[in-house]
Amino acid sequence: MSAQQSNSTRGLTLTRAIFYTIAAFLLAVIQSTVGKDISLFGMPPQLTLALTAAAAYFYGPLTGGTVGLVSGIFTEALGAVGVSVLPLLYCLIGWFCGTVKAKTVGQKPKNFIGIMITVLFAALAGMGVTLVRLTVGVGRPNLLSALVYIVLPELLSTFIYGILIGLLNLFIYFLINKSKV
Amino acid sequence: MKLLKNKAFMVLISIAVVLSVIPSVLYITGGRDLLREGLSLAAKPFRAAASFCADGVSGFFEYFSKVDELLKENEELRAEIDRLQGAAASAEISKYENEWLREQLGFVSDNQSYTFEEASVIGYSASGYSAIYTIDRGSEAGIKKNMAVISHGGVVGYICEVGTGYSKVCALTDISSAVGVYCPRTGIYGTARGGETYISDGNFMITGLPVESDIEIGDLFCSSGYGGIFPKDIAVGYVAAVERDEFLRNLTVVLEPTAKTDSVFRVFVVTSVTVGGDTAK
Repeated sequence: MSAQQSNSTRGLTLTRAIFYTIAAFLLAVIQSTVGKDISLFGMPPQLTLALTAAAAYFYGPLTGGTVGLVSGIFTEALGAVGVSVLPLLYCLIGWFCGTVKAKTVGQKPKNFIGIMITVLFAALAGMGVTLVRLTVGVGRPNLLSALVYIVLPELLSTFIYGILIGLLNLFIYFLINKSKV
Repeated sequence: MKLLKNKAFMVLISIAVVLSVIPSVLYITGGRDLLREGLSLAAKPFRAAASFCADGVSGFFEYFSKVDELLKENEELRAEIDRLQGAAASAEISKYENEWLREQLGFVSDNQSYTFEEASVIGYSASGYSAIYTIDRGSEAGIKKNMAVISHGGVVGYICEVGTGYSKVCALTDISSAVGVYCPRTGIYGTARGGETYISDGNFMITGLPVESDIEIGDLFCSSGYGGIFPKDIAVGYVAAVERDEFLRNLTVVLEPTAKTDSVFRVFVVTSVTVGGDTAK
């Protein structure tokens, strides 16, 4: 791959920023409006977190962190009340998803296994986010019940939708790169 | 550490910290978060469109999948109407008897009247521990934080965030919500709150009741008026299950809300309550 092509597929560009901002906004709207209707295992998925993982996988930690920040802002504004923690947490998750991807899958061609690993990492980190929000919002939650009835179902739900969003992103990624070749 | 020397990371984290701390401080101090309000306002038409599409799609599939269920429900509802008409007639007689007895004993009627602001539900977000409705009325309609929200079915929740053109309602099934309730049949008082175990079913619970409490499945619980948010005697939920712990000597009651999530489309925000001539807002 030439240096010019390598640069065009990595990092945060204006086009990508606009694309992911619009995608994050739409997913936050879907999540906060009809999230319950698309829930799996009784819990709605964290679609914006899944998008963050996908962005981090394809374009690296900087894009992942930025998309995470924007996703966190939209998710907080549209679907949450109280103390704001999501922009910071999603930003960190996005950055570390990009780092994890680079250290595990490296610069290999984009593939399903790589997407799965990154989405799983993001979903596991999302579990931590939910536990933090539960503790901050409720004070002394019943952690065992929360784990069984909220956290684990949400992990599975986010993981499955994350795979779908990742595959969609993969499809768009190959379409864009094919047109540039 | 190498990460801390990464300029891009430090810039991004600094922006994230600022964008997390400022809204948190505004929330704690009761200030207006203009960014959050602006985004909620901008998302309003999209949310209305998403709700409309979701209702259309689910209605289309339900038309084919639920015909038999609807016919059966129709039969059951006809029987229930007949039963309720009989009960209404008895209640009418009891009402007159009650009024006559009050008059004889010199009781003053504690008449409650409310003023409402009607609103439509434009979103329902149930993620993690939270269950939040978004409605299409806000501060411009006189809505304030901690106002009670009810529907035709009963108590829905309370206003937890207000903006211009929208408000967020913490549903009773939200883990951080609580409402004082009582059972009109037995006079038992308690506090109904959301629970981790029941949030995905859309139910909530009353805990800490004595194990010998006389509670049966199907009993109605209404708001008790304690707590200062919900007016008295508004339906909250029916008992769906009773869990007795003979060892710890306490009882947990699982309530199914009378205002079910999938049937709450229009709500009423209680903007003021008048009790016997005194108005509370």
